[in-house]
Amino acid sequence: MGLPLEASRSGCALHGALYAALAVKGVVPIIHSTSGCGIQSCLGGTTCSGWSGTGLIGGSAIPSSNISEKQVVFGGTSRLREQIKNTVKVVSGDLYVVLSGCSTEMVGDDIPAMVREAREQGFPVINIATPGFRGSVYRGYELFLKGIISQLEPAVGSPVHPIPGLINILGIVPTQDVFWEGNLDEIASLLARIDLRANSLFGYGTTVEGLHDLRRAQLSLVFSPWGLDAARELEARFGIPWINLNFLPVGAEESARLFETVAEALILNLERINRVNDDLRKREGHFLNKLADAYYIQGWQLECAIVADSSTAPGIATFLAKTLGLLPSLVIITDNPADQNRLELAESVDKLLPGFGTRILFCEDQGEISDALLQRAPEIILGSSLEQDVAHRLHIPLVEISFPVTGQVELNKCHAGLRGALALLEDVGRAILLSQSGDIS
Amino acid sequence: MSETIGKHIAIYGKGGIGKSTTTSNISASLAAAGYRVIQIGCDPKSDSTTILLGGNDLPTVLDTLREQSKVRLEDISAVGFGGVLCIEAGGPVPGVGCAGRGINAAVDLLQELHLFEEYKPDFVLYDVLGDSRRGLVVGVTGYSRPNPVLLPTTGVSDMAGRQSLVIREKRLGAIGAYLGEIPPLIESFEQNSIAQRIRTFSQTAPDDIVEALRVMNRINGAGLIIHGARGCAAVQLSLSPGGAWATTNLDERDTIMGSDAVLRKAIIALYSRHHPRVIFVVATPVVAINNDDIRSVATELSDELDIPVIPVICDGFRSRIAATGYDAAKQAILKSGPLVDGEQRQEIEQTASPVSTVLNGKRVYLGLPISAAVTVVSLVHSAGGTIAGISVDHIDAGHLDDLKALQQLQPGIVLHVAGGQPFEEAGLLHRIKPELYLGTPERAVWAARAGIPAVAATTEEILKCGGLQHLLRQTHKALANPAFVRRLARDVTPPYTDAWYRRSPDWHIKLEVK
Repeated sequence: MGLPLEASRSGCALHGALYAALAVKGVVPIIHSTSGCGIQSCLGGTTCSGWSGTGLIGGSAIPSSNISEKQVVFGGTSRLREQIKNTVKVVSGDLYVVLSGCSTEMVGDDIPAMVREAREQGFPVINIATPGFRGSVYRGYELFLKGIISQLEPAVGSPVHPIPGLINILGIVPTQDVFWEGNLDEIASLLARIDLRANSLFGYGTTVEGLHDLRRAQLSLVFSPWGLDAARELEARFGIPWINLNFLPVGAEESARLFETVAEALILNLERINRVNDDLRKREGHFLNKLADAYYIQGWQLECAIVADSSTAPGIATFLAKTLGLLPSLVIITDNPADQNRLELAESVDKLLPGFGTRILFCEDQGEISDALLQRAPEIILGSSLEQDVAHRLHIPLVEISFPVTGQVELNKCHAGLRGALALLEDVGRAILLSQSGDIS
Repeated sequence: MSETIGKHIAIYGKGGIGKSTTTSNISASLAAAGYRVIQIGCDPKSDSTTILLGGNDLPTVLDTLREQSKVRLEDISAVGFGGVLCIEAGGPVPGVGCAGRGINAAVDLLQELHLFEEYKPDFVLYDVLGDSRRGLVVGVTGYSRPNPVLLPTTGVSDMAGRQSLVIREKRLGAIGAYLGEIPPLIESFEQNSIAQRIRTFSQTAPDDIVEALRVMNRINGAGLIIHGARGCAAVQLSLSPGGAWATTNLDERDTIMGSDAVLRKAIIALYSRHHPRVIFVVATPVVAINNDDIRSVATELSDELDIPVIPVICDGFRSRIAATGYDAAKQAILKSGPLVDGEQRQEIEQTASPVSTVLNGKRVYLGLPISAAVTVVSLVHSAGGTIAGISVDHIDAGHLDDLKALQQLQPGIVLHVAGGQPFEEAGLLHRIKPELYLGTPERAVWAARAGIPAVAATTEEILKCGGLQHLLRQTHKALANPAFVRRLARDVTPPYTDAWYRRSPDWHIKLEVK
């Protein structure tokens, strides 16, 4: 039975797959469902992800079969055949991905047969079953990657040999991670510092080629439980090893940990790694010194609560606790990870500040999240726009680090790596100042 | 349906246990006793009434619906033994389409034909196959019971546990796809012979659920349950992030076993936390296809919680006109009684068009709802411009005066009707090449990407006091500095194929063949 959710902060599986598809240039999604499915993904998804626009085939331009009662009663396969046939004529693309919604999956349309038909006519079309009742946006991201890995055949004659130094980046969910594009950029530029090339899959500069190259990478790095399925699949099919980093690194220390882990796996020159890490730590130190005056004038040493998904929350908590001296009293993980992943996440939270009694809570329900925050009464919240009400009631600053973010426009900011740590510090400072100016007036 | 005509009895059970024989015998006895009787077979085998018809087969409602657009009662009924009126709902080909929903479509048609009002039966008997995986029987009885059950019911619409809502296409002849001049439309509305058009390629567009939610969120003190898969509640993050709302977050199991229990749980949880004055339950495709019984749960909880709990009848697929959701919302609000003031419809203040020459000789394209468009056409004319074309979401019989006004203001004006569908507008703008685009923000952005200076305004912004002055000021700015649209257009590779830009923009609009 479904678990009712108050103010759910994640759309459905169809939306997650859509966000992934729309994040690759040349991929054209075709929704096979009722007309509102795509609009919901835009109004309740991309718009709430720091007001990010949806690109040229996003938003109201997403091809969709918009099935009506006739298709529900008599089946919608012929409508889908027509939609596929016309989509390839109207919309330019390198790969067309049919994503099914609740209605057509319930009716039982034979979607694979329609897609096979289009492929036999020479069109690059695949299909992924993504009805909303299968789960959240995160599940949709998993389903998308799984569909790509299992169905995307390399073109005849294209190279299949591994590309030395190519690293798959998995687990960063487009749109649902408001800072996904910046985060992917930062991970890529960190890896570039040790001469590795990130296969980011999503965001500026990526194409269908990146999806094809998944099987040619030397290693997969996983930054949330939602990348594990894909990593395992790539290992099973193509023998690509993978490392689970559990969450995105924030700050110099966690970035150093990333380098050391990768270096160990790929047997890289440690001297080089140490030099890079040294540089990161020095840079971070420089900017922390720049911050120090404000830190004491504005009173930064606060008890904090973090509300975010499993790729974001632990890294930010670690940076705040171990580098910035904040005291994490409550960490709320909002993406409902599987039980075995919860254990690892709980361990990383336990290690934040031993003896302080940091509480970890896995929860998607806004009512329960608000209750937990009010009860713990932290001095600052790092969460989403949905925490505005609680922050207001507690008269404390709120830094918006997780979906939905509706109070500010976000284009390419990141919260990962060193660049992300510094951006986070600027955001924390702005929130503290804003709340203090509120106190005076 | 307000008043039920006759007593309605459903006889339900799995195949081969004698339902049809029993039902036919009851019908025959009632007829012999002098009552007017209708028997409706709701079984894909369509042989419920064969006994009454002396072995003759009857064309089913669904088959007839599939083959012809206009169905008359004579086409689908026959008088059998003792004067019993026999009807077979029929069903889809096994494994294709949804049996339960099919029966619903048949029942809808019977209502449209005013079967009960015309025939005035004393008894209506339904012979319902109960082993269809989903369908109206699930709504009536809960999940599959093995034994035959006799169900006295209060009306056809009750059987499906839902109220009917007449969609805009049928109530007002609403049209969601059209490209051409206005006079043919005026004529078809005046002669009440509206041809429905559909698209053979389409892009995502708002549905009744999105529109209903837009209205429901404006009601102070109300709680909202979006009853479906979690994605159907996504738009709430935009509309009312901090409001009292929840989703039942249905999973795969709920789609098979029914969702009454989870709905109960959701309503009680929302009530305990927020104590709303009224709770609205917005239906979605999953519960509509399954015919999950929202109304019983709502009625029970209205009593238990002592506040109105009211279903909002949406489904995402019955109507192609999103504004149908506005009707569903209105119907629900009316039922909620004096607790809700209703959304206050703003009086449209007609302000005199301000004087300007900013559009001297310029060709302007409008992308606005038709009511706002009429006002803006006058403004464009008074500022020296002409209209190069208009795109509107939908039109229906209620817009007849607006259509006439447009035709009078600028004869020969071309009207494009489309909810969303930016591919068609891209084609239109590519041909027309207007010098300014004036429309809703959702539409204006596509014009901007095509390099056309664009002004964005919502209907509210235009029609409120001082709205037209504001519009002129924005127009002036858009023409004075089009740097942003130029920069945007520079890096935009058109998403559509060259072939599409060469096609007529209404290439994918076809007359609907039922």
